[in-house]
Amino acid sequence: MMWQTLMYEHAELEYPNECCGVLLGNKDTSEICEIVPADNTDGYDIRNIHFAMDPLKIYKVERMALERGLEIIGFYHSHVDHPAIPSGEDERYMIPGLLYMIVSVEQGHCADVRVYSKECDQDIYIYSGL
Amino acid sequence: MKIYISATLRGFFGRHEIIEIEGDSIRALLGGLTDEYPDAKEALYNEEGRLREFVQIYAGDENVTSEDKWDNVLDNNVEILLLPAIAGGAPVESLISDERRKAVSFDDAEIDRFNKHLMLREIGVKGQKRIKAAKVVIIGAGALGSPVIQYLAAAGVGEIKVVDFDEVSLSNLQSQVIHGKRDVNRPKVASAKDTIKGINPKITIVTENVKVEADNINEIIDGYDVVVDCTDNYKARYVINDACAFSGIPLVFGAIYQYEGQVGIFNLNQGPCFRCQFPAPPPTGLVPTCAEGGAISPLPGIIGSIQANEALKLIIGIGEHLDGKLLTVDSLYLHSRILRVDKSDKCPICGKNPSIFEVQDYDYDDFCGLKDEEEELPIEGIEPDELAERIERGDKMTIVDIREPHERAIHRFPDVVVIPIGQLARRQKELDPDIDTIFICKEGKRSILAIRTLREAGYKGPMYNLKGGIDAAKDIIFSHEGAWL
Repeated sequence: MMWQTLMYEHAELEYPNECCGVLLGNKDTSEICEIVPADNTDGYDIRNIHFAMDPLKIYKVERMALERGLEIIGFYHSHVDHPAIPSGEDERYMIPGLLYMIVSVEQGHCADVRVYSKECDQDIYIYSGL
Repeated sequence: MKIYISATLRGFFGRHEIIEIEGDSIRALLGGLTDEYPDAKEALYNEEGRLREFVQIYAGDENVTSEDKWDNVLDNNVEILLLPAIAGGAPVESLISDERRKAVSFDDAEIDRFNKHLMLREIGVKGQKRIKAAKVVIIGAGALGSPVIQYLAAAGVGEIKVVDFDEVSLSNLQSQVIHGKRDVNRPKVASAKDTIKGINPKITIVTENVKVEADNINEIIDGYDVVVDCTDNYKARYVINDACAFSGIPLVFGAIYQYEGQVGIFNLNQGPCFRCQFPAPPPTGLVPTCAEGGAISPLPGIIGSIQANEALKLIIGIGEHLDGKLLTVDSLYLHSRILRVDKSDKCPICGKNPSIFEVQDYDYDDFCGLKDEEEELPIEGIEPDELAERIERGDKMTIVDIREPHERAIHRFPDVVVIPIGQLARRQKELDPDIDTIFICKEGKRSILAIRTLREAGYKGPMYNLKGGIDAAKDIIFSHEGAWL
């Protein structure tokens, strides 16, 4: 199954909470090969507007990926009934050089997806559309 | 020690997976790491020298990202991991639900009145309906309250509550532009109400002529969408913040001092509260009372207008706002900057080990040592007319003026020794312990602090406090000399 389909399914499954996960692929070509869904570790009461991933989970994922010749090239998360635009908080957590994909889920259905990257304190908007 | 660098952060470290650094604490290791890879410093730390949010440090399974763990001595064989933090939040959401928005309608006059808002893509009819559905409490109808109340009324906020205990005085008119000459001696809330009615009689106005305190604040803000803090003192500020933090009502905070102002938003969506940044009021003597602070006329207009703008943005759900930030504006040199306010684990309200569980009145006067009642060590006071008599008689005594130079420039007190409060202990030799020394300040509060300070410093001579300060003495002592200004 295509990684896109898996990601949209994950986002819709988690609705009305935000989902999150890791994008694996080839850093040099920025080509995404697969996704690894992760748990949203934020409190139950704020999962609809917040997400966080366990850093140790990311550590495990990157060790696993390495064995298969892949690497982490970015992360994805969803916005619930909100546009696929990074919030101020999203921006602050962006590591320069990585891809950040945001899926907008409106009323339980994926409505938009956009990808951003940060270089020298500036967001670079890369791609949008389902 | 060996540090494992996550692949996601390796770009800053020459793509090395494991880096060996000498050191037995996180602080030493981070220092060594940035010495070896100077480029990484900029990537890992923000402008204020704090670790960026996307960096997490682990010693084995233990998260040691928090700076208070950086000096702990590390086990020799523990693995240090530099990992990414991946997190985020949803973009701004309106405080007003769609149901409430949909329940609102406009008549023709309103369409005309709010035309300039309706033209804006981000506001439009939906945004304007949210504004009309909104209920806002403004605490303080003074300098900051003036622009906040008037702009929120003009913008079309449906229900406005104004809370203030004070009456309008002549000296208020320099900056409190919601009141006029004819309002002097009227309650500020009554004057504010008239102004709001003049702008738009359709607004629901609620006024409360009270001082906010622990036992009334919850009832005051209950059921409102946002609270705008336009007060001028720490006591009210903490009472308001604490009540907002407990009830989850967002707070638009504003403060001014002389030429500088601050604006911030607290308690929004479980975000940081005022205490996350300022856990308790500043220590004794650091804070001038509002009466001595002073401010240039348009400053509250600038700061209050930003507060009103932030409140509207929260209500409409647009733009980027000062949630978890503190905007500081220096109107004298026109500098402004935005400081970040993080949710603090050590916050006494929303931290991991909270110590405050309900709104309490904070005895700030007591905290500052500025309390009127002279408790443990009684301090002798002297009434202004008594002092006037003694001056008239030519009694041998020393009068010490402890006010700041700019205060003395307004109200000169003749024949005094001038010693600013900070120099008292050092300059006590200038006082004669065999005669009475009378301390004067503006309100007779700092002079109490001065006497305490000197006592602590070991001064043994008789000391008296001019009760009520120069404010109380104005019409009694030397009024004929034209000493006042």
